[in-house]
Amino acid sequence: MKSLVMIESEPPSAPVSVYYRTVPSASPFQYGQDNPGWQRVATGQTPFHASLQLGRYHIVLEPFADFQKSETDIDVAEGHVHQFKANLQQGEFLAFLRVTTPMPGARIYVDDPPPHKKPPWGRTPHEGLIGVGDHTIWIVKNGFETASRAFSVKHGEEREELVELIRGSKGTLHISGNASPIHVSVDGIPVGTFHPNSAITIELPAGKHEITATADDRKDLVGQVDVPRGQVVPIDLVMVPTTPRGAAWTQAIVSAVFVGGGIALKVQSDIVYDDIHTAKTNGSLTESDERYTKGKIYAYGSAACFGVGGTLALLSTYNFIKDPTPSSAIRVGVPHDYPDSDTAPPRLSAPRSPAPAGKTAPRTTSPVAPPALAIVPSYPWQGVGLMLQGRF
Amino acid sequence: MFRQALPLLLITTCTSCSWWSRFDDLKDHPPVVEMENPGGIVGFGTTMATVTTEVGTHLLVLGEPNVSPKGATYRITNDTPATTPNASGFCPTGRCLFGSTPAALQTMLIDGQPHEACFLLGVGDRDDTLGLLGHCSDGLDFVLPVPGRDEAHPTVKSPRDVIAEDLALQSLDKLLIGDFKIAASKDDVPLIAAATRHLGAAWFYAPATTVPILLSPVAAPGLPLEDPFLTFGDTFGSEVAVVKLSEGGYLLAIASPHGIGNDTQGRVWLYRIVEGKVVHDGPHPDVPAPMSCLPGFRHNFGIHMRSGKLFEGSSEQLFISDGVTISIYDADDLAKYPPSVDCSGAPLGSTGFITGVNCVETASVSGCSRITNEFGRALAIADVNGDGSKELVIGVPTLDVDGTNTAGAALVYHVDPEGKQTRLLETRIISSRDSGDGLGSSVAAMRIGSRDVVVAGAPGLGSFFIFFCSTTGGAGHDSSRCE
Repeated sequence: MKSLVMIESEPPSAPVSVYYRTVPSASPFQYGQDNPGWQRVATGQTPFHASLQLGRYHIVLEPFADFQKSETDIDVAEGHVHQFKANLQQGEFLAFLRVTTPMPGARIYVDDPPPHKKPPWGRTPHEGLIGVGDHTIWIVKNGFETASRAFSVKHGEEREELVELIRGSKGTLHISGNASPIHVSVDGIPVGTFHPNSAITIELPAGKHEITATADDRKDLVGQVDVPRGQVVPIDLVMVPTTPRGAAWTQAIVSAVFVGGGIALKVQSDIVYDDIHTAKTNGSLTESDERYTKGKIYAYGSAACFGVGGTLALLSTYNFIKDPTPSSAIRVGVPHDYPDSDTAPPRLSAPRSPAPAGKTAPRTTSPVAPPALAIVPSYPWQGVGLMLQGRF
Repeated sequence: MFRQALPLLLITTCTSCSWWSRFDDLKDHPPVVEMENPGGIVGFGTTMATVTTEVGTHLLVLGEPNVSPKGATYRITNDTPATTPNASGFCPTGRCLFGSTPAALQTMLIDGQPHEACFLLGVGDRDDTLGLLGHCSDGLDFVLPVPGRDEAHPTVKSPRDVIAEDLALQSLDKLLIGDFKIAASKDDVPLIAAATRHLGAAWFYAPATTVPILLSPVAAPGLPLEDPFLTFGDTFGSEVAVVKLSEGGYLLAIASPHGIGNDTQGRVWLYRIVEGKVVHDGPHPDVPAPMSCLPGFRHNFGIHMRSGKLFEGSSEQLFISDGVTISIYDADDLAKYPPSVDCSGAPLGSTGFITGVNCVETASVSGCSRITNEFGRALAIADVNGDGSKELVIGVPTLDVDGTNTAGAALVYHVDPEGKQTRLLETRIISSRDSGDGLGSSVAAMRIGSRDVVVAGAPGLGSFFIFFCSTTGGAGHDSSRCE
């Protein structure tokens, strides 16, 4: 079993010699002495890589140019990659630090307290050399509480920090919709107006929140959304157009006209009847009185008007009640973590999510981008090229 | 869903059905029955007369006088009369002039045989005999000869000549001149009187006879009586009426409504007839002169005359109209206390006068002010409410009813025997009225049950109407047609 030993120097090209302690009881290596029990097993120039068997070695960077020699002992252990870097001017050695988190991609700041003024040391998982001594690291990831660790490393020490990240107590709603404008309120508080290409992003305490939305000629929307901790949940307000009531109103008006006509005709019929009845009481009624026909025509007309009016009223009521289209609804997308960067999180674009199970996805009525063709650069692993891309 | 809605639908349908079916209910058995023109009678309903016998009331209805030689008779006994006449026509020769005053005859003796329920329709030619044309309910048609030329005055035109002349004029479609008037008494064997103002002639037929007896024409006041047929151009004979006197005999009234000569006041000449002879106190007992004259002191007095028994008792009344007012006279008083011999005597009302009746307007009926000469032309006496006292029914065809011009109406008056409380009881109008109907051109009374129903002609419609219900209550409502 051998292990890899990487020897680097600053500046590079330094002559390097690797001595192996062949006799375990041999005295420590003394540069410039005979050093019995020690055997030079490799020479070269930095950067120098060598595959060595397990054991104690002594690495010597020979003096060259204006640089001093630099040397160190190293125990080659099994399954390790040993990195040895020497600053020839100073002749100083560094420690090795590895930082990992369960969620990769967290930014690592070393000895740079918030607000961090330097670029991050790296993103988890990350490892590298670090100066010996006391250090404090801050692990920052959007959507998580910032974690910090303080430790001290010694010369040549390998340290590994596994940092648990705890999600933040808030989440973010990314609100878009299919109408414009859509006035949105969360828990009864107006939070903004949605316009195309102007989605609403709002940070909320994690938990259930009531969303209400209104838009012209669309059904009002009331729904609940569960905002996860430390995540972004995209929601799409599917504002279904209100069912047209023009026919119902027309029927109601025509019905009212017919019913009014029926009442008028009935009143006229009653007047004629009373007149005829009075004539009969007075003894002047004849069989050829035209008012019989007149009154009956009024009665027929009245009944017909009431019939038509009543039918239209029922039809109108039905059409007022009938709503063939579904209610406005919230399509909740898949929650995802905040996109991470060295700076503030970019504006989020809400991905479309499938309609709720059991429901037919409402027809999107918001303006959509027209079909387009474009030629865009492409960087597949096979090479570089141009790709014809279409959107429909 | 349908089963739940079915009861509601049925209720709604039934409810709305009643909206129009109620009109059918009203139409069933209306209080007024229209009897339509049996066909071809111009002005049907202009005149009428009734005779009541044991089998019911016989009603004669004629068309426009001297125009339509047709008529129809009906026998009406209950509230559901047959609308078709039981006889019509009455002029097979076509040479007939049916007049404006048909006379009802209870019984007519023809060749010694009594015939019940007869009518004198007018004048004409039947079996080559010119005279008064009659028809009886048994189908008998007869003619009463009218006076011919006097042998003493062979050049003077006689009533028979006038009939012949009118028949000739009728065939030429020219204006007729005769204007014959006929009247008869109401007793079983009546006295018949007739007149024509064209000649200033009047005559009568004694009961049970068919021989005309010419009455002496009248003279101007202060002048001696003229010979028969010599007074032309006056209006003597414009109207005639006969009343039966309680103590026997008849009073025959001949009107001269437009006066004589330059004197234009109307007069009524009264002839008393006893046992077929004219009786008077004049200087020439053999001359059939009037016993007295009733001066009208106004124009048109006597333009219409009727007779009848309006009040309880044995006396009949004479109704004399000047076209606007009807004056009611007691016939017995007129005979007992003759007003004057030469019409220069006491003023109107001093003898036998009971009261006067004028047109009365109501909320529905108006137009009395336009009446000039037709008030009193159509007159009947009827007990409309069955209380035993008679009412006076006057047809006025020119009245407006609820704004309908000349729709006409029949006015029913209560007249007090002492002339103190004459008032309008009710008006008879028709609900199906139209402008120009002229309801009331003729009126008559028919006994049905315990009350009389009023019949009124409407020549504008060409029909007549039977009014079965009275608003005065009593037996006037004794009909399923009355509410």
